[in-house]
Amino acid sequence: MIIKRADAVLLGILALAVIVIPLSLDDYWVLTFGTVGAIALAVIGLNVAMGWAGLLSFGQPVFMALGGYASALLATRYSVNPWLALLCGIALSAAVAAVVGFPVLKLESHYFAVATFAMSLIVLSVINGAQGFTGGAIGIIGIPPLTIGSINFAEHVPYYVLVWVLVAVALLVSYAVRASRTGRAFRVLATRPDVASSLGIRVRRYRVIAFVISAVFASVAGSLIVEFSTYASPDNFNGDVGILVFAMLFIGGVRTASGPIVGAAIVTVVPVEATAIGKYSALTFELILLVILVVWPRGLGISVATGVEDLVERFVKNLGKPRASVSGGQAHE
Amino acid sequence: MNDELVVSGISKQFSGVKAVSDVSFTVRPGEVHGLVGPNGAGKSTALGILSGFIPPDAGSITYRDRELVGAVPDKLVRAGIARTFQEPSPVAGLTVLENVLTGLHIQGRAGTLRAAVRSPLLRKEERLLKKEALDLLASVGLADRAGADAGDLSFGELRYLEVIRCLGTGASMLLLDEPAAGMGKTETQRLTALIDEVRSQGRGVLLVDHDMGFIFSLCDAITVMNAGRVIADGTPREIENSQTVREAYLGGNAEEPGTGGPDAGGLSTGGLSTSGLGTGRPEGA
Repeated sequence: MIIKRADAVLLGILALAVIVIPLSLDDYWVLTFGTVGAIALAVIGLNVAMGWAGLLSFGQPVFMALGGYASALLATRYSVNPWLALLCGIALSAAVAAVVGFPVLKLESHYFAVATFAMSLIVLSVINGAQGFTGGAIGIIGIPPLTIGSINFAEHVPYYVLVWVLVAVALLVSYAVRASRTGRAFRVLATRPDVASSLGIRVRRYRVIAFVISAVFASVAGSLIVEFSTYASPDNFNGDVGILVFAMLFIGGVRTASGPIVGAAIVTVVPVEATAIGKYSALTFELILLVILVVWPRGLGISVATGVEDLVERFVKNLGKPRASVSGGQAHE
Repeated sequence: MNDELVVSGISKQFSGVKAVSDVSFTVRPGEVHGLVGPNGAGKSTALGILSGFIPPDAGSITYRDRELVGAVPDKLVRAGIARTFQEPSPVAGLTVLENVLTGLHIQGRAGTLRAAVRSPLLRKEERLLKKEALDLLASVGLADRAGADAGDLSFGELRYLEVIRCLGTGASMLLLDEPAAGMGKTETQRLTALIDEVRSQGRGVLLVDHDMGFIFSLCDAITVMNAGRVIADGTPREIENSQTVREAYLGGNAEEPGTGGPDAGGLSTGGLSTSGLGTGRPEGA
C-alpha cells in the first residue's frame, strides 16, 4: 500500500504526541513544536516534488519567502486581511513555480537543482535590495496576526493548533494526490521519464505540477512563520533553509508520511538542545545528521519503526508457535 | 480515415553509420506484423523512430491521416501508437496494480485538484481504472499478484506486466519490442494467446523479435531487416521460402560472430515447422 504499516503506526504515535504536548508540557515546547509543524509543511511539499516526482529542489525557501513577504507586505502596507494575504501568497508562489518551472523543468535534474538555488539567491537579493519596500535586512515588523473572532493565532496554543491542523490537511492532500493518476505519473517520471512518455504521460507538465504543489505548501509555511512572529526577515528564508528542509526530508524518511514531521522535529530541536554542550554544539549536531544519513539512509523514523515492526512480528510469531515446534527448534540446535 | 500505420522511407544515421536506411512497411489493423532480423539489423532503431524516441533523418510515418514524424512519444500514445521496452521497465516501490494503472494514465480525466480533494468524480474514475487494470492482470494470470511490489516479480511476470501496461494505454497500434525474450515455453504460449486476443480486437501489432519460431507462430505479415535495410517483406510463407532471407541470416552469422546462433537456429526451426511454437527458442536465454 501507499503508506506502509510501520509508517502508519509512527504517524499515529506522532499524532498522539501532537495532542499530548500542549496538554502536558510547558509553553516552551508548545512554541517549539508549533515551529516544527510550520517547517514540516515545507518538508511535506518537498516530499511531493523531491520524494515522489524526483525533482532536486532547493527552492523551498523561495516560496516560504514569497508566502511570508506576501503576508507581511499585503497586511502591513495595504491593510489586506491576513487570511486573504496568506491566500495571495499561495497564488503568487504557485504562479512563480509554474512560470519558472516550465522552462527549467525541461532541463535535467541537476540543472533544475542549480536553478532553484539561484532562485533563492535572487529572492534574497531582491528582499535585501528593495529596502524601501521590503524593509531590507531589517525586515518588517508589526504584522497583524491571523484571527478568527477572538482567537488570536499569534498566541502559542492557538498557533500550535492551527499549524498542526494544516499539517494534517497537507498530509491528507499530498497522499490523496499520490493515490491518483497524478501521483502515479510522478513515480514513473521520477524513475524513468522515457517510460512515462511512452505511456502518454506529459513529463514536463507533471514536473511543473509537482513543483507547484511544493511551492504552495512552502508558501503556507512561510506565511505561518511570519504571522506567528509578527515579523518578517530575510534570515528566515536564506539558502541554508533550503538545505535544512532537504536534510529534514532525508533524516525523517523520504517518501514516508511520518518523515517530514520526524525530520523537522530532529533538525529543529536537536541543535537547540545541543547548545548545552557548549562550544562544539553546531559541529556535534552536524555530525549527528551525518551519522543518521549514513546509518539510516531511508530515514531515522521509518528505520526505527520498521525495526520495531520486525521485532514485534518475530515476537508474535513465536507466541503463536505450538510448544512442540519450539522444542523442535531447540533440538535442532 | 486510414487505419494503417504506413512507414515509408525512414532513415537514420548515427555518426556516419546507417542504422536504418530507407525502410518502408505497413502495419494493418487486426494484424500482427513481424519485424525481424539479426542483432544490429536496425529493428530497435526503427522501433525507436516509430515511437518518437529517435527523430529520423528522412522518411514519413502516417497513421489515421496524420503525419507523425517529429511527434514526441506521449503525443504518439494519444494518437494511438504505444510501445513496450525490451528491458522490462516497472516502477519498483509501486505495486503491480499501480504499475498497470500508470499504463491507464491517458484513459483517466480527473486532474490534480480533483485528486487533492478526492472528488466523487475522481473516485468513480479510479474505481473504473482499477477494474480495468485488474482485468488486464487477470488476462495474464497475475491477478493474485496485484498487491505485490513490482520489484518482486519474476522476469517472465515483468514481461507480461510490460505488455499489459502498454495495452492499458488503449492504443490501437502496439509496438512490442521482443516481448517473449527470455520466456519459457508455457509463458510464450500465454503471451501468444494474449497477442492473438489483441489482434482479434482489431488492434494492430508490430512485433519485433529475432526468434523466428515465435514470429511465424503469430504473424500475418513479416518484414525482414538486415544491416539497416528491408531485405524481404511478405507473408510468413513467402519469407520462409525466401532465398535472400536465408542467405542474409547465414551470411550475417559468418561475418559477425556476435550475431549468435539463436537467429539462424530460429530460422531453420521456424522454417521447417511454422507451427513449432517456441521450439527454436533456447530456454531461459
